[in-house]
Amino acid sequence: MIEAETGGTGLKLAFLLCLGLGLGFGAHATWRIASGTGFAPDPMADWMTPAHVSAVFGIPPEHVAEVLGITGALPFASLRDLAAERGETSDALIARLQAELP
Amino acid sequence: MESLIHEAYAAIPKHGPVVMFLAALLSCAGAPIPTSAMMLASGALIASGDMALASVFVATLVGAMIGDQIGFFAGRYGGAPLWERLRTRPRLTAPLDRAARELDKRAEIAVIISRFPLSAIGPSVNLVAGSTGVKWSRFTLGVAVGDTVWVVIYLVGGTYFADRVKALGTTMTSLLGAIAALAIAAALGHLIWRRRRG
Repeated sequence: MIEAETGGTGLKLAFLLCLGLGLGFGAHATWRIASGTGFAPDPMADWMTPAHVSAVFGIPPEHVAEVLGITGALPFASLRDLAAERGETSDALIARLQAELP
Repeated sequence: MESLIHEAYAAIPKHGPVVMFLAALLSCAGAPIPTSAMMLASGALIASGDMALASVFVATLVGAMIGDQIGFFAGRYGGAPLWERLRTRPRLTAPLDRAARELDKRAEIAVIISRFPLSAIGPSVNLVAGSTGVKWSRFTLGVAVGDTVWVVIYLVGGTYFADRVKALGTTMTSLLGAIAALAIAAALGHLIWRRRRG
């Protein structure tokens, strides 16, 4: 009897946990969609690669290479890692790339 | 959650397809890693020519299938005794037997749906399938089809929506998480309701 009741309490707790998580995630998704951020274009960010920045923001690859001081093909590395290699902040690198936006 | 997705995205250019293999393996085995969102970002990096579609597809699919097998065998060897213990509770015997019968009847479909759109419950389905004695060949067939659909949808989605993968990834993670959690809540609610009716 006690075991059955414990099982019942466990089930109810699991039900409430899932319901709470579902409502929480649902509210977050609804808020993102309603506020227009759900499918909005991404701002330039430090996880992006030079080729991705060039393709998405319409900056010619040679301009991206020039800003980053790269000769040859654009490397497969994030702006964060490229900034760290150069001893500067990601924000400074992104600001220089944003200045190239058409 | 947004910062977790941001860090996960930043790991992709650092480690390439290897990180997709590991993310898919760990998330399918049950770790809370935003692999679906990472596949969107990988799709975007494929579109810009940073990565090759074939290598990302193979790495992610193989990782996912290995992770699913880990969950299945964890259920078979670790979950089966627990399942049997739960079955000894008089009020749980009938509902659990019915759930096991239903899962066995529709094993392939259940496994496929739990890869997409209910990918958040995939690891739980792996464990239950292993615990309840679903045949390995039927489970593996479902996983192969379901994982392929899951990986293709997200990688192709990432190539099409390359300019908004972060926003889309965050929204989809919340939306699919909500659907999965509410689906489990509905199943548990149904079980509680049936127990109350005796």
